[in-house]
Amino acid sequence: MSEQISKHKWAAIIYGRSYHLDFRFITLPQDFTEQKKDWAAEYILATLSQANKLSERPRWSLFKDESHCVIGITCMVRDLLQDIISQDGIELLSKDNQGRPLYVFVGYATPLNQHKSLLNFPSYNEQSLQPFHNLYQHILKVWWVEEYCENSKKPFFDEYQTINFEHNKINIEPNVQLERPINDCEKQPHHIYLWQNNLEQNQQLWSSAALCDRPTSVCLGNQKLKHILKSPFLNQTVTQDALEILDNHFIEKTEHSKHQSSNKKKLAQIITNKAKEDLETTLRQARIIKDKSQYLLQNISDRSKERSSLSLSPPHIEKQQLSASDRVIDQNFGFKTKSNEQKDRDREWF
Amino acid sequence: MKLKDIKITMLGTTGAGKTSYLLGMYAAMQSGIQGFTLSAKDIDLDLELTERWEQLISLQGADRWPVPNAGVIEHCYFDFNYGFRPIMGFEWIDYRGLALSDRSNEHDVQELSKYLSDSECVFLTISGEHLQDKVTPTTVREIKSDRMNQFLQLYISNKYKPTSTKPFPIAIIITKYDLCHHRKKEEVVEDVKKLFQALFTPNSGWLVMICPVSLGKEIKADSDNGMIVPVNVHLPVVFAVYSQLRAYGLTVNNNSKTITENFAKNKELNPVLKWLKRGEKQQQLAQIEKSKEEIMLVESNMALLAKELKEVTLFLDGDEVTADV
Repeated sequence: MSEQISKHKWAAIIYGRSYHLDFRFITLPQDFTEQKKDWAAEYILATLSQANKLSERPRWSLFKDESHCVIGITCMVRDLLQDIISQDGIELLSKDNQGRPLYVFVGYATPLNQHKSLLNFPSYNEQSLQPFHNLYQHILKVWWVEEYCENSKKPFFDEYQTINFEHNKINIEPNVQLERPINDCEKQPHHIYLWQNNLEQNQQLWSSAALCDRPTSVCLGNQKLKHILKSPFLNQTVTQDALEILDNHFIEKTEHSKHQSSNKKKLAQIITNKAKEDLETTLRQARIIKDKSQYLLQNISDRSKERSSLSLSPPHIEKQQLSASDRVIDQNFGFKTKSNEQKDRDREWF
Repeated sequence: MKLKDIKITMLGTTGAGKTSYLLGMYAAMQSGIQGFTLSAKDIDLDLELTERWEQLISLQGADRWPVPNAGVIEHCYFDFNYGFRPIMGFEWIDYRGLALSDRSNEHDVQELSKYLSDSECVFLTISGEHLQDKVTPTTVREIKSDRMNQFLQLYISNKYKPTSTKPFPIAIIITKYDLCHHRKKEEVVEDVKKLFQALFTPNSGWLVMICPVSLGKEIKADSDNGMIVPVNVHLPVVFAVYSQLRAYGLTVNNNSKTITENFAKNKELNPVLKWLKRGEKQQQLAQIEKSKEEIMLVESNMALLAKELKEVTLFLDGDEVTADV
């Protein structure tokens, strides 16, 4: 077993922003091609939506395909640095040049062989980001880089090495069982399974995804339904209200914008249907009133038409209407050239 | 009257204040200006923007400011209303500023370029932080005005080919104006003209507004705790709607002119043909009447909006103008 554990080697994968330079991949595993980078980016960007909510809790994500597995967290930089550097250091390294608080995705990737099940991996522990603390070193390397510096936007490539996550291991309550097996690429590749966000269940989800022998993905956060419609994850924890809306606890996965809109429509349909039930009686009554009103208005309108056709002769209409079109509207319509006098009167803006 | 929905692109580098501007603009326009209001088409978006705005005005310290955007483009859909009746809908995107200067193979750069080329109005965002002194070549690098010019050339000018008769509206928004309001207005205008010279060339077909905005005059002294009192944040959207109304008014007017000409031609026909075309005549009269009503409505809306645009600096075809109906 220990021999097998040593086979897992990990390389850093970091997506974040430094003091001057905006979000980009800062570090990638050594064997990541452009295609592989795009694959990882899709998942990582999905964990970054609604970043202003990251102050409340970090998001943990795990995603694997046939060849690689990535595990990581998306969190506020100050939370990552907590307990490892001084308060002054945190103050300096957790804000950008505009003084805005920063967030980051930090994680590890490992190549997979025919067995997709992970043997050693960091345990899920929402508030302890300890397994990822060291990764901030990668950002420090580029912290002061400016856009005009050579290769400023190019990522570093990290070599795979053995990392022991054993000391981070926590015991999972055996009596907490998932209500159904997690989703993977062979089950419902076009569905996102939605899960309630609670510590015990998250630990189970995390372990199940790590041990799953097929490509799968999970994001543990507290995202709203609206923000995960475009998510590539197969399993996702969501806010309680989202689970209440969807009885089946899954939504159709959307990969193309065409499908996205239909999915949005589906969601809207569910909400509408629920609302419809309550409003049905009111609508029925409104319809009766509307029909009666329309009949009344039609009568009034017909009578008024009859009256106006009698009182206005055609030449009169022509004269009146044509004179309106004589109004000069040229290409300067809506604007007048500013005179020198007006310019002199110009005030300061504020 | 409901104009067609449009796309607006706000171009600006990282830290220019695009997200803060969006929050301030939405908050200001929710209450309304001259009866005009803005509403999010999606109730969740409304809640989210309001929540983030409340965070900005209520919190103290760096956490009040919106976090920078990562490589995800957020789409927002709004209605611009008069008396709660939608006049025009528009789409807006929020994105990471590096998309303006990153490689074109990045996903969000491609999305931004595509979105820009479909836009009917462009907001260029420059931070007052870089206009505190006279502009230098360094300012171009800081503001990324060179990249903005390049984007305008590639995705707007080449596609729309603006002309004097069909100008393209551009709002140059000086965000964080509190940082440079010690300078004279004329000096700042001259500097902006230097940064975007092509937009001020005679007969070039650009309708340009230069508009200073700020989230509060106190921010300069204390950005983490200064009181948030937005200034002018509604004006760029007012300008966008004004320019769309104007374009619509001109189109209606041109159509009306054509109908009137055809009407006049029909009057010269012999009595038999006149009789045969009597149905067409009634139709033409109805269309002329409808056009007249539409133009009057456009003008009355424009007149209300023009009042708001009195304090900004406007250029049409390189000449300084005022909004006046």
